[in-house]
Amino acid sequence: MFYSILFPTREQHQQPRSSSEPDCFADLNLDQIFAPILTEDKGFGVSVKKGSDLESFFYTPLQDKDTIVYRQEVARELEDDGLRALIMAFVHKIKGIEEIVGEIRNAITSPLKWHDNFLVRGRLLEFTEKYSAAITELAEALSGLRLRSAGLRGFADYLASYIKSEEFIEMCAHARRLREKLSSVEYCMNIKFPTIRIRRYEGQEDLGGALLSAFSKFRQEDTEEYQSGGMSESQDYRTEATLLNMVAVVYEDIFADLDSFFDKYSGFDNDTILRFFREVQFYLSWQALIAPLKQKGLPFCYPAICADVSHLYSRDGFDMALAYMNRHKAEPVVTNDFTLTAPERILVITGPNQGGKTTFARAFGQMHYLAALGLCVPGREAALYLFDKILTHFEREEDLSTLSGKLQDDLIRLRDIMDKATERSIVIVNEIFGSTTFKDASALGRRMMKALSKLEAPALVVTFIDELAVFGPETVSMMSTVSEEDPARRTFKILRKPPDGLAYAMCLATKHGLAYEQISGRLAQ
Amino acid sequence: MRAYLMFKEGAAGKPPLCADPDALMADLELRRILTQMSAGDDTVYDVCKDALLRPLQSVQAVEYRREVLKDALSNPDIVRRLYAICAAVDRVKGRFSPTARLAEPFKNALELLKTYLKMLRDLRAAVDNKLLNFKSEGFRKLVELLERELTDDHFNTVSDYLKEISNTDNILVSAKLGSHLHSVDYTLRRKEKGFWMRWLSAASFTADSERNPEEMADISNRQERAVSEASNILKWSALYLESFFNMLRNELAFFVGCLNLSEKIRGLGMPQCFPELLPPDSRERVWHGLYDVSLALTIDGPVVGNDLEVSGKNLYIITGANQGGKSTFLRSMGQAQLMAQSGMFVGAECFAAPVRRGLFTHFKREEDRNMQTGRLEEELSRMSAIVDKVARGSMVMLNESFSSTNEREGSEICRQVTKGLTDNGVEVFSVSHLYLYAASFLGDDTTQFLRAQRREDAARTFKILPGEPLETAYGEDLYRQIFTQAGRPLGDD
Repeated sequence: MFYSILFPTREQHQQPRSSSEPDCFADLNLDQIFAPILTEDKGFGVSVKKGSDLESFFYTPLQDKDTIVYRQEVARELEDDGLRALIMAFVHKIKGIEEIVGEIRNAITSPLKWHDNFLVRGRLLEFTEKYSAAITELAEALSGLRLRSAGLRGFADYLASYIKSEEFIEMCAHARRLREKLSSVEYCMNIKFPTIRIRRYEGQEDLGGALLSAFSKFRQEDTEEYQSGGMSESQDYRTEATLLNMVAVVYEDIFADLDSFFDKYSGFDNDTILRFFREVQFYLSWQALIAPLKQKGLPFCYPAICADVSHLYSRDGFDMALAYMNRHKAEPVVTNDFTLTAPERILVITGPNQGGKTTFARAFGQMHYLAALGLCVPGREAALYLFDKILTHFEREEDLSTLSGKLQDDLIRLRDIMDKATERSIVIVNEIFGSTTFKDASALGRRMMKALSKLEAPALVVTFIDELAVFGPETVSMMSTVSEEDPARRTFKILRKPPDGLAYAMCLATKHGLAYEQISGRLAQ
Repeated sequence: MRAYLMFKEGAAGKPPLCADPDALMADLELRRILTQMSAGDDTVYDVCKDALLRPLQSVQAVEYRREVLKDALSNPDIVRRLYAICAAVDRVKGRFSPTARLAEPFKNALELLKTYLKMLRDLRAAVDNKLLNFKSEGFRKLVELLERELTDDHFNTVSDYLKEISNTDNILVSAKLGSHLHSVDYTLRRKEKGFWMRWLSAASFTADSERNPEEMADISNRQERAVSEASNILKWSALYLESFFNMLRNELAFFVGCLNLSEKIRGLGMPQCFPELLPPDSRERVWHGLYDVSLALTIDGPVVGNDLEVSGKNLYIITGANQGGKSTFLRSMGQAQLMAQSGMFVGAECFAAPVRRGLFTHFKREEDRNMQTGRLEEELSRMSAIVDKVARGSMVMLNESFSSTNEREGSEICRQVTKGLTDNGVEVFSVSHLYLYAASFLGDDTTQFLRAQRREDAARTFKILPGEPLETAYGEDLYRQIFTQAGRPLGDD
């Protein structure tokens, strides 16, 4: 029996989830990535917000492959624009229904008798209509599709049997009959303070319309047409209910039918469907977030999930936070690859500063995190590690003020990481030991490399110390690079090649116009 | 209901805006001309600017507007009177704005509408004039429109409705049931005949102020809302009228601007003429006494004009002395082209030119402080933006383009750009001191060479005359002039 679109079984759904950001969130800029979903109103049209019970799904990377694959299948299927539009339309229609149903139930059980009135009944009718229309429409549309994912197929089957139930069919028919009668009602109010009189409407001429039509010939094409000022809004609820009672006397039969509808159907909502409504937004909000990037031609893929480190790779990955920030800019996002084939486990990145090293490190962490949520990840193709945690060490800006204590702080943080790390962890260390002498740094760096090698977990190290890049058979050396024609220009490409400190020096020289060709060019003038 | 003063077919005839309006404004110094036209009225400024930067695309469209302008020039008082009535909208609107009389929004809306009705009557009276002498289709249609639509009957009907809607103490409103049965679709209704008798027996509800103040508030609130909807209807009626006044104001503004400029130019003793526009594929140009209108306005006096009659050319290369009037000449040509294609007179004794699809300027940007990309790169990217948008039949003006690099490179780039344009049906005016560039077109009979002249005493005449490029520049002149004026002769270096 279908239970959740995020987990294959009810039991898995009930596993504990984290309600706050994991430690690696800030370092990997995952907070920036999810900000449009969780904190800003980006008009994704879905209601995933900080504080909603959906939030925890973003903070809980999965550790079981079955659930990841379950989600990947659903997510992949939801990439179909038609299907997604269908689900999105459903979400929009159901939105807010839970709160409203709660209010209706409070009103009818209220000790104040007048709280239970025709307006409450009207509201129930309204939401019954919306709800059944949305469900019927979705069920019918889904039944015409050949769904591949277990999740969506399970939901579609559930819906199909739900709408065929006798109770549902009878409810829809009753609502339709009732609404037809109610919409034939039109009445006139004569307002003469403090008295209101009510009669049926009998064809009296529209005064405002008459006046406007006398002036409409003057209206220019680019000028808007009359809009009602909304006379009927924000009335006193209780008086509105009293007036509605007067109308109910004029139209007695119709309102009696409303009473009987209410008695039968006040408990019309279904938990499983409402859970789907909430949880499917996990996928929808992500799709909406990456839509502008996809439109820009950036690739996303569903990675293979690997329980061991024998062959991990990614083609054309990129830093999702950076790409999102620059989504409106014309210049293309630089993508990068990596491959780790046993015994390789540790990527060591060296090369010119501002060459995209940190970005590469973040991208590496991000894609693993996103993969463990069951979402698609940046890149054309990838095989990623099924980790228990991502441990990161990035230079923090506030650390700069206490420069003296920085080496100590670096070491303490490194020790914490090593304490927590298991062979199933991913470790990312970005520019450590920058505050000490080169000799110190390389000695400490070697110690760190040794520890990482022993750990047998995949790791990524960004460093200015070349020798760490050729530490042993576990290490793979990669470099940020500069353009061949114009050495002052960074390509932001991180390539697999041996470390080359000279290139960095040459790059600096070029930036100052002191390379050989440049000097001869200047002298020739 | 609209006027057809600017275009025979109304706004549908509006041609596209020039590709880079800001560049044209700056390079051709249009601001000064527009300031003169506007005489401090922002609407006139904006409308004239829009007209200048949307060159009409056919001889017929130009002639249609020009006939209207001729009418305006011979009936300046009536045109200004009509404009003034419409322009009062701003002031009137301010007087009755919601903030002006917060307490009585309904009365405000009513008074505003009544004032607009008065303005309509004024418009009607203004054209009720036996001395009117309009010949153009545009103005004749306008007069006809005002006579047809602003009748006494119409004014009477409107005042009946206004009387009825003013009765705010006894209101009739109809309603329907909304999605959750709340009342919706409130509509003000006219009370039927025998209203009071019929309604005597209706179900009624009277709020009890002691037991339930909320009910009192609600009913008073409903009344207020009905009155506010009445205000809303009055407000929209006023908006409709306002849109009409604004439309008419915008139609008239251009001609008021032309009146202002024409009178000023006459005052300066400078010539103005209606140009002859030739079909787009013509390669003929005539100009006599063509001068920079903006310069004349700046020095508030007469300036030098230039003369030439050519045919079969599509490239004009202007070389010669620095500060010899080359840029001024380019500006006068560009201004005349835009003014001609907006149906205006131009600053010349005589001017004939083909209709141009668009006008583009690529002027040296000395003031560009944004050096991050480098001057040449900046020039190249600006030129590339022009090439993105230029189309066959357009006109491009280059002023010292690609002089930010050395002469050989600059000449080669500039030659390729120029030739690329002219060989693809674009007319080019190019001021340059790149000799290699200019010389590369020697012997080409579709090129007209012009040169800024220099008299023997080294004083500039500011005349631009036919002449092939010379290999020497005149920087030395400038040097000598400046040092002499400063009382510091060259010395003996």
